[in-house]
Amino acid sequence: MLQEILSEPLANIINYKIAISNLSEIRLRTNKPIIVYIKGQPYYLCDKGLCCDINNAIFCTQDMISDIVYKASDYSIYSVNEQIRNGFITMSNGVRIGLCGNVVEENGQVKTITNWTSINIRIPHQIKNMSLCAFDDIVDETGLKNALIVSPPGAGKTTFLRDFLYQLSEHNYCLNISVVDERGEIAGGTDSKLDIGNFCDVISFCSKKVGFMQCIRSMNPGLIITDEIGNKDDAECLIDAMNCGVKVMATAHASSIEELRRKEFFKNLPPEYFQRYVLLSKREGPGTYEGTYNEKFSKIVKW
Amino acid sequence: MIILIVIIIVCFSLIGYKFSSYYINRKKFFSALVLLLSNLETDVVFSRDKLSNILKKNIEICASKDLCALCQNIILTLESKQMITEKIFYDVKILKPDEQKLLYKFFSSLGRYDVAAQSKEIKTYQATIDGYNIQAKEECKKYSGLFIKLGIIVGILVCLLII
Repeated sequence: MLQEILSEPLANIINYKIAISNLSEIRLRTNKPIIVYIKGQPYYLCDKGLCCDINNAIFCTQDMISDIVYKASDYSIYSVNEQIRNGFITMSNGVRIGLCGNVVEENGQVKTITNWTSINIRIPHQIKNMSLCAFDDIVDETGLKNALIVSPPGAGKTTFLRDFLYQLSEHNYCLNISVVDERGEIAGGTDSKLDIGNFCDVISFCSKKVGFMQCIRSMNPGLIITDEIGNKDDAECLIDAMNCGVKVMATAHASSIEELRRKEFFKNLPPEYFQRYVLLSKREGPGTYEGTYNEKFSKIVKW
Repeated sequence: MIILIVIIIVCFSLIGYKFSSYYINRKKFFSALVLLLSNLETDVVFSRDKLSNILKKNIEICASKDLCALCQNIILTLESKQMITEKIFYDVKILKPDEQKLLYKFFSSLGRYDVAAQSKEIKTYQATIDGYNIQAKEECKKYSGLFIKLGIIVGILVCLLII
């Protein structure tokens, strides 16, 4: 998966000396040691695999970063510039590369990012049955409920969504599901091995506004799934979907329900828009299930 | 005797043709390259397809076998996620050193910019390559016929000497 973008020595270390199933992130910063995140814990990358001693760590150069970005774009930066403008590149196998560097702005709009100085390679995972802990709370005998998956960044929201889609299919919940995948992360790309079940139509790399409208107009969805709701426009998309009788499942960044309620986008939503909130954390590693809350923000207690 | 004369003339004509084909191939190469650049610019601006896919599409309509070989080498390099090196010219023997240097610079700069900058970059190189194309056409006009004629004349001369 990573040999396509990493140089041969780095790819060999990662493929043969690290359990890639536990690897969630690789961070490269110019002239700094390469850091890998295994089960949410950071380690330095060294010739022998992982280490905690900075003296043994492999240091990153700017050429290394540029090389990875060029390879990730298939040596066609112009073809992924829309993504670069938003600060990332998603590869066809679902690996997402976050970018930092010099932002070129024109008339107040980001034109591109050049001279990349830091990148964050996020490796998507499929954790089967991860969503089962909350599945029955979201899907019950009355049907499917609008649900919001809440967690801090990197705590498994997208992985949860992906597994939820898979579980709907596994439970034979035959429903037209439209996935508005702004960053191509939920479903991955054409070469992705991520399984999102049999009932999903994926619209990728478009804004939520466009994605929601396209799906509602053309795909007759029963449920729309999207990642990272964060502003007023996103809230409007959710309201539009509700007005069209479509159920929504989304994710949002917050480390608690109280924090979520203070968010601007949340205040723009009608009361009790979401009937279920699933809270995840990194307490015992990414994807730790903290509980499901109802529309009144009370934790659903399971007996 | 007549058969021998015919064979000698044909052989020398073929040698002449071999020399002239260098100019014919150069003309074909640069004409096809001008077309490729134009298609490349259009595809970068409108379809924003990956570089290797654009080149693959263009190979199908490419009239020059040398340019096809060059594009094929670039595609192989890109698909194996390698940086473009001068090895892409391995199968192309018709370029002069300065032309090869310019084309190497051009192809290694492809895909490194956003749409607007990439389009501008292609247009900049287009002007120089148009110049090469005109020059190759003139050389072809001047020398390709000349070498075939020279081949025939030398063949006749050899025949006269033998007789």
